Amino acid sequence: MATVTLHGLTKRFGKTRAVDELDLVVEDGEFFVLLGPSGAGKTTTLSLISGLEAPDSGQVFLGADDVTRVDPWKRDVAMAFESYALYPHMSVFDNIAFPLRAPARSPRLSEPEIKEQVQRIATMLQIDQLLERSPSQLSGGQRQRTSLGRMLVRHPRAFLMDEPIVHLDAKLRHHMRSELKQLHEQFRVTTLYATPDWVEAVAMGHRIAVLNHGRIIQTGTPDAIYNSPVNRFVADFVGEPPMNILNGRLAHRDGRLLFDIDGHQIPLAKPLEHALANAESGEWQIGVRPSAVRLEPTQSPLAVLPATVYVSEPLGRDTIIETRLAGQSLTVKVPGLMPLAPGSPVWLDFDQNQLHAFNNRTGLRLNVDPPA
Amino acid sequence: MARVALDHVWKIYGQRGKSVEAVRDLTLDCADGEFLAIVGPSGCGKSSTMRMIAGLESISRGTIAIGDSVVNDTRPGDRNIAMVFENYALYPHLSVRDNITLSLEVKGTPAAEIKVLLDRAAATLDIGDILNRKPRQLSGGQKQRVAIARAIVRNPTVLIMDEPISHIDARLRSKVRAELKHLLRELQATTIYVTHNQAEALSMADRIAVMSDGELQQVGTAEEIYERPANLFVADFVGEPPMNFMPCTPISHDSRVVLQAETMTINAPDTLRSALDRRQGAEELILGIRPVDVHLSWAPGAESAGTGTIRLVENIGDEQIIAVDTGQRSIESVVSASVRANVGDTVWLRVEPGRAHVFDSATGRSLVA
Repeated sequence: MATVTLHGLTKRFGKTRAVDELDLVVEDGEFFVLLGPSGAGKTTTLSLISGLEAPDSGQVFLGADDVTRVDPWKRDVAMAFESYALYPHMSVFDNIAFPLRAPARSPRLSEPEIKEQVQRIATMLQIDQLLERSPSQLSGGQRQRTSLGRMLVRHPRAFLMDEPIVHLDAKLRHHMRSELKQLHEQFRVTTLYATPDWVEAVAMGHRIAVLNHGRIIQTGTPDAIYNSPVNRFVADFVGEPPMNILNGRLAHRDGRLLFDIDGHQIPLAKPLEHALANAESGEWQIGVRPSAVRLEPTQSPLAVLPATVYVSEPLGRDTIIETRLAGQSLTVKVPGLMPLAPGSPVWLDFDQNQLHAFNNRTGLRLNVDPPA
Repeated sequence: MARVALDHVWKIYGQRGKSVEAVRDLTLDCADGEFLAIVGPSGCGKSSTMRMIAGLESISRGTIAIGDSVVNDTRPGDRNIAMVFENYALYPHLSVRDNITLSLEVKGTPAAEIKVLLDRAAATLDIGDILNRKPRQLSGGQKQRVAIARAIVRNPTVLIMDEPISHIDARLRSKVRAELKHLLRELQATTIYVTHNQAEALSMADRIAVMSDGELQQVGTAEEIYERPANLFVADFVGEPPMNFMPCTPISHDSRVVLQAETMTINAPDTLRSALDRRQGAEELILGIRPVDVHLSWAPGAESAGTGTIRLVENIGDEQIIAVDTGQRSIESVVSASVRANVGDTVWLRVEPGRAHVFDSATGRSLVA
């Protein structure tokens, strides 16, 4: 196993910079997620690390070794694709043993040695009872384990996974997600995992790099990405439903700074008020996650902002309610089932401690010092 | 608009003497102006049902009525049904305008009337500014709205939608879902919506029909389906992450009944008292608890149902999914992201008695049903 270091990595396809000056250090044993929409450069980055693509400039290091010009098969990285790419005519045993029997491999292993290694890996993956089966007789989870087994016998320095579970249905995806995470805890192979799904990223990653147009927008822990997004793009991309971003203006009242949405006044917590007071003047937007808004069907001292229901969507454990507040769309997530007819009046309140300010022009989030 | 009524409908496909019953004895009603979702995994019979309503498949047994007339022998073109498909099926070489008006022109509708219908549909669906574009120049959400516009200009009696948003990028899908729900409510169109996605069905429809293996499992509002699933299939299919299940035995304890389930013991819901009294000591029940109803504490309490060790913690934004190893079984709990939970922690589980679901393991039926 090894660290993976990318330095100024750039790859152009025609005029497009698919990967643009990427700098990244993935720690030894880390589960690192590349998160972004399609076209962000995730797959290209993985291809550059595996050697399937050559960069126009920049370097790839595995541990201390510069492998930028090393042939893919000599890099000791294992790549998993969306389909598990198992050989259908081979048994589970032969699929896992395949890399050990490769002609180019040195030193050559004897069949008893191969058997011992396959058995050991299969036992750890709990597929040792299935070694004689063919892939068509396996469940999705068993296929994934077989595919992982084939990667693990090679003792690769890093795993590269490109959207390995995106095509599964929601239930199975949830199951595979927790299983992959647990297998990583067990084997601790340095892993780069590409996905467009923010839930997978925050659920699995030790750290996440959010990519867009070939560039890293933010790198951080799931907590940092979710709770302190650097800009509107990350705030919008991570979270479901996405964070509400509201237009308005700063106003003063009774010596305090607050956010005014068409006459409706949103009080600000001290740290954010302080940061806004010290910030350069400019237009600001306020961001608030749907779960950080309280919604009441009747007016109360706890909920004073008047809004109207646009559509309400019961999802079982939560209800998503899209409202209109002073003509702006504002989505609220409430626990449990709350059936509300379109057009119903509701009253809202924002959790002051969960408000974000975004610069209207740059989209950057205003950094707020934590309370002393 | 009109109601749609299916009365003891069967679809049987014959294959060289071997027959497959794709739909079995389905009786289902969609009221005038109602939005009914038919949901289930692939192979459950939802598509055959939809195709029989549309007239794309013959009806093997039973009757389907639209409004007051049985349509078993009515040709598809004469049923006045409009369909919206998963892949939108727009003509690539025609502009948005021509895609929408084609069926009216074929019918010989006067040009002035076509213009009125087009303008109204374009305004309703907010596509007035893209009428000159070709389908390839549109986003998934726009294509979907064009497909709906094309369906509604015909002033259909019934609107049938087959997985209409399954192909839309996940980021956009929840937005489109809300827009579509709002729009269909404004149109007051009798709508039958087929999907494999339980969240979509729950969030959008007035009522949801859950199908499995050719049979109707339950039909009801989102609340009925989610809070009172009629059987194990519905309980497992609806809700994310899925319900925890484990075998359990009812045992009388002083004046109450407890459910003894492997390593967990919980008080039985009052609503089940009489049903459980008849089954004292029977080992034929399945206890179901939604992950959101499994509460965790880091110290034992009077109401603790059992204990275990945290095996896995998955952050999912505002919440986290925690898998607790209780010895015999892993039980999932959904708790707020603000709770500090670490792998290896010993935790105690608590379940509100009213949140427990109990099923007969032989029939799969809920004891409440």
